Amino acid sequence: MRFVEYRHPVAGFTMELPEAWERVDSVAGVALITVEPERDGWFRSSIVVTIEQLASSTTFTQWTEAADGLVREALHRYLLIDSEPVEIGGHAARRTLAHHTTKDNHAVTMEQWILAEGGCGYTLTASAGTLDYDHIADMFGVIANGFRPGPGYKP
Amino acid sequence: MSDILYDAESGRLRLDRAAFDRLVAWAAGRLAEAPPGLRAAGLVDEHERLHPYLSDRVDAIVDPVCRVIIRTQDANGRQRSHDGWVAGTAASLLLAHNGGDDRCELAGLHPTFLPEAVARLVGLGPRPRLTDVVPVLLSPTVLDDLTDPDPERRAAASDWLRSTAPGATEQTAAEALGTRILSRWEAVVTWDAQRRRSPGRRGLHVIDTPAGLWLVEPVGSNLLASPTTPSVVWRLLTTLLPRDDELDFPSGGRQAERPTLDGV
Repeated sequence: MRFVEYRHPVAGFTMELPEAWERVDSVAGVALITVEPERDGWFRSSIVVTIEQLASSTTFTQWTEAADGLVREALHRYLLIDSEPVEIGGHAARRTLAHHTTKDNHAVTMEQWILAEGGCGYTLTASAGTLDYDHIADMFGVIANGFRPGPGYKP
Repeated sequence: MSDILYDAESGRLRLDRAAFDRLVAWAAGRLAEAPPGLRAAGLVDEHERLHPYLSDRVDAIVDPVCRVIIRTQDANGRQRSHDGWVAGTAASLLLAHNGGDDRCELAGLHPTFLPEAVARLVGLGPRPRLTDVVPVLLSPTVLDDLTDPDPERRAAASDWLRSTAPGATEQTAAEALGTRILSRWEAVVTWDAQRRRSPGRRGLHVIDTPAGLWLVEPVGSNLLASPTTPSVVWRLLTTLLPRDDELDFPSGGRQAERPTLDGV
């Protein structure tokens, strides 16, 4: 698979993305949606980046706990499988692995990385059909580890 | 007397093993007519037709592409064994009741949800990381003793494990593994291995401790317990089912009759 260097036109964050995947970075409230090409009814793997402004009084732990609560409420049959502290580009981050069921009744494995930098909270959410996950998990990890927040960006 | 509870609204079916065996025998054509208990519970109508909610589940049992066995053992040695059958677009799980009797629930699911079902059954979730811990070689007997219902046997196995650890790193590992086991579980999928490159079997064996997860693999006549993570275990669960190329049949024609799992 070929990759391209992507830089968000406003937020300035950078990451490597599969060249063939569709990219949309003009949706309100979502910095980036990138989706693999259509595969005849299969669940399309995707990576979504969101950015939110963090109150100065909010700690990283408070933010991640609040984010966990929202995800748990929003996703059907949410099952948290793993959670671990990690580091992305020198920033403290947290990785979670979970499973949920979509409205279309797809079994989806979701891997999420969240990190805070410069008053911004960045969330990378990578999703794959559960039986596809093993094929794509390493790529998700490489993409997440190559993510770099935009310097000085304020939402 | 059979014990069948069927909710035709939800499709939830609870029954004992004997009733399950009769259901499968009838569905497979080994009985001339449906046993009265199946009719009385609403599983079969007066025209000898299975309730529509059950068709996929029972079809998967009668003509599976692969079989699944999930064995669990808790900290007190209580064992449960769940059976599964997977066909192209449907799977069934016969879930053992946790009361220790032979009551079961026959659940239906799409095969893509099998990893999730196993994860929920075994309580897979976030665990501490076993850092600076080396793999531990065990005899099957020691592992059985570590999860034995008898607390004295468990304690003796734990003491033995720690006493035989040769160095500091092995001692740390023995402490982590031998102090307390939350559960031990195994998930195994088997299928017809017509091709030499098809293993016909894939499984994983996990020990869950308060210190973290261990993956158990056979090494000769012994078992090697290696520290692992829920993420690794999840990836292995997602690869348990056979791929299309592992289900090919060289005689031709037969493959077309059998559903495959990729792309469902």
